[in-house]
Order: sequence, then structure tokens, then C-alpha cells
Amino acid sequence: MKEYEKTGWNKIVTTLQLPEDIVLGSALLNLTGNRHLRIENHKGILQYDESQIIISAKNHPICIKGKGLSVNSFTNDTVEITGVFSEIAFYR
Amino acid sequence: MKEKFSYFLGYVVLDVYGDSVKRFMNLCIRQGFLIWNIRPIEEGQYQLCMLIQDFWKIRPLRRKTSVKIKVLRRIGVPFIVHRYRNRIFFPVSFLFSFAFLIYSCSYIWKIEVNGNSYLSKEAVILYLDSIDQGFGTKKAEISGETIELALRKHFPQVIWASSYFEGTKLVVEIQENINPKEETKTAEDVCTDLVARKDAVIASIITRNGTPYVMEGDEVHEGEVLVCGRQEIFDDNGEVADYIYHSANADIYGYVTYHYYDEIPIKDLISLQDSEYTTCYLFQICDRTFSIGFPNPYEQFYSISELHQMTLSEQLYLPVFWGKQYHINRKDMIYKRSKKEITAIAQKNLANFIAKLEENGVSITDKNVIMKEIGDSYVISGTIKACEDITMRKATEILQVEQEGTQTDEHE
Repeated sequence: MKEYEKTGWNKIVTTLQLPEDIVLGSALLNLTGNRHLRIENHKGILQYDESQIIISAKNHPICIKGKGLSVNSFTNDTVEITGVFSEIAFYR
Repeated sequence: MKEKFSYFLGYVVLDVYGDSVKRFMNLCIRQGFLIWNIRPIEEGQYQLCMLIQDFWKIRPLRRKTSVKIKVLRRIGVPFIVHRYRNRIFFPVSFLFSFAFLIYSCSYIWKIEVNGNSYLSKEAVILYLDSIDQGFGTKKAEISGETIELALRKHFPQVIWASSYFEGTKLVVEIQENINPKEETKTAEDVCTDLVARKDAVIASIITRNGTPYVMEGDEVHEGEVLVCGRQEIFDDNGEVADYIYHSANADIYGYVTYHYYDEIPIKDLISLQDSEYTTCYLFQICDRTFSIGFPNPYEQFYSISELHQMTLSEQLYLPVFWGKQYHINRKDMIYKRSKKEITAIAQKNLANFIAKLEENGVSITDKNVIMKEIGDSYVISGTIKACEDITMRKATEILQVEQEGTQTDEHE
């Protein structure tokens, strides 16, 4: 991350309007209401229970909090989470 | 994508527990194994679904992560096939039924006739069978245009026909000409004569249009012109100068003689129906009929069948019938009729004959019928005089006026 900031990759990608998920490998979150979340470019599950799921991503882990959380689909690229979300946080 | 076909590929529901379940799952997806419906049960225990083909490859991952795996359920076609491997007829019959359904859907197994009033449904169905467009015909061989044209040609009263498919049902819509006679009478664009339909003696004639050729009391024969649609125009010399053509119009009634003949045998073979009967069950596929039940014990019998056709919906009829067949005992015996009975039968037959005539607008004026005993039967014969409309239309013969060569004398 620091390397990207130093080399100005972020600035270049923003200036050239390149897709960050492809160039930088950033996680792509597709949230439908507060009940369905699809995360692409993840790096695995760090923690998983009914109230909290932490998904590892390239720059920072993503924490999803809520009730009745479950992973419906888990593949190399995407993870689909359903439940009632109350909070989505990005950890440093 | 595999997840969509997971039922056909077969999958297992696993209970995975241990210290590193999350690591196990991460390793699984890194290896390209598909897992879905991951549900936490307790701390360090999860339930997940996995394809059977992936399940055989997870042993190294299980060893590496030291998790324990328990198979909770096996779901999918491969497991069903394995379970019923000793009952081969079940899947075979299932496949056969499916193939039979697909095959039978390409044929017509029911014909519905709509819009008929005088024409019977059975007549239409029998005619369609005779032109190979009926029950059991392949849909691809059925031509809507052929049916429509054939129906209009074969049944003159049908003025419009249409056909279409509804599943395995052929729906034939027809429209009949309710009063065809009036239409022909009103077709006055063609010049017509009125000719005699049958031999008769003219009872009355009222001419509205045309030249009458007959008078009251004249005897006419079939095909004779009664009222001509051609009118002659004479010049001063009394020669025909021109002809005017129009449709003849007249009310002509004539006395017609019908010859009646009926023969009633004194001895007749009659069948007495018994109260005894046997029942057997019928099962029919296409043309083949199978009967289940007691064999028919009677030598002489009536047979009544009640068949029901199998349908999956209102449109999807199948060539499968089932029902009952009754064999009713019958006893034939020779019966000698009394003269009173024969007279009653003869009167009934004569009344039917007269009723049929009267249905066609014929009024009976006189009847002279006698009954004679000849040999083993009674013969009823005689004549019936009736008064009826005897006209029939026929196109008028067009005549050309002979043009004489005109000589112009130039006398000055």
C-alpha cells in the first residue's frame, strides 16, 4: 500500500480513470440493500460467525457486522454474503 | 456455474470442525474447489456444501489443517442412481415414460369441432380420418389449409373453416350457412328459368317475373321449363326483335305421386337382452387394446365399452385409454308376429315416411296404401299424392336475334 502511495500509482490510476479493481486489485463490493453483499478480489475468510464476518482483501480487511450472516457462495474470486447487515468497516 | 448443476453432478453436505476451519476453506478455494452455503454451527464448526468430485480431493487439505470432516447428507443424481442400482426398471421406466411423452406430443390425439350446428362432430372427424388428417396423425403432416379447403369442398353447408393446434389437440372451427336455399334464390345476377324438379300435375301457378310455359292442370315432366327467364320483344312484323333476360320468379305447386313400398316379415329374429353380464377392464395404447378380467363366457352377447382418455392438461391428451367393457348376455329367438302387430309396424313406418315428406314442405293430399300377405311377409304398397313446390332453377339459354342483312336502296 505504502509502495503504491509513494510511487503515485493511485494518482495515475485516478487520473487515467483506470478500473482500480483490475489495476490495483482492490476489493469490489456489490451491496444490494442491507441483505446481500458480493465481494470480488478477496483473499479469504479471516473470521466467520453469525454476527460478524471478516474478509481479507488486498489493502485492508473488510468487516461485516449484522445478524444471521451466512456465506452463500465462496469461490477463488468472489464471496457472497447474506443476512441483515448493520455495519461494514474497513480495517487498517 | 457448477453450483447451478450441483444436483446433477452430486454434492455432499459436510460438517467441518476443528481449529483451522477457515484456513481449510481458504485452501479449498485456492485449489479451485467450489464450496457454498457455509453456515456457522458453533465456534470452530461449520456446515458447507461441496461437489462430490471435489470431495475426493480434499484429503491433503484436511491433513494440513487438522480439521475433522463428517458427511451429513448426500444429494444429487449420482447418489440416486447408486441407491437404485438394483432397481434398474425404475429409471428405465422413468426414461421410457419421458420418451413416450415427448414422442406422443408430436401427434394429434384429440379433435375438437366448434361452431357446428347441423353438421355433426362425428361426421367431421370421420371425414378428417378419411383424408389422413385425423386422430393419430403426425402434427407435421397436418396442413391447416388442406383441412379448411377439404371441409368446404366436402360439406357445402360449411362456408368457413379454420384449424389450429392446442397441445396434442386439433381444434377445427367451422361456420355453417344456416339458410342456403334463400341465398341461391336471391342470387339474381344470373338469368335463370324455373324448371320442374319432378314429374307432376300443376296445381297452381302464380308468376311474378318471366314467361310462363304451363297452366294449371298441365302435366309436366322432370326438367321441363315452367317459367322462362327470357322474354321476347316483337317488332311490327310480329318477328322477334330482341330478348330481355331476367331471373324467373313464380310460385308453382304441383301434385306429385310417391310410390310407397314396405315389406314386413311375419317371422323375425329378435334378440332378448339378459340381465347377466360380465365386466372386464380395458387398457388401450394407440391401437392396441389389453383387457384384464374374466373371459367372456357368452356365445351371443352385446358389448358396451366405456373408455376414458388420459390427459395431462386440457391441451395435452395422450393416446392412452382406460375403462370398462361389459359383455351382456343375449338370446336370439324366432318370433312370429300377429297381424295386429304387423299393422301397427306398418302404420308406424308409413307415418315416418309421411313425416319425412312433410319435413321437406310437402303437404299430403291423398294416400292409397293397401297391405297384402305374400308368402312369409306382408307387403304394404300404394301411392301417396302430395302437393309441393316443384320448381328448380336452371340457367336460361341465351339466344341471339338473327340479324338480317340490311339493304339500303339509294333512290334519289
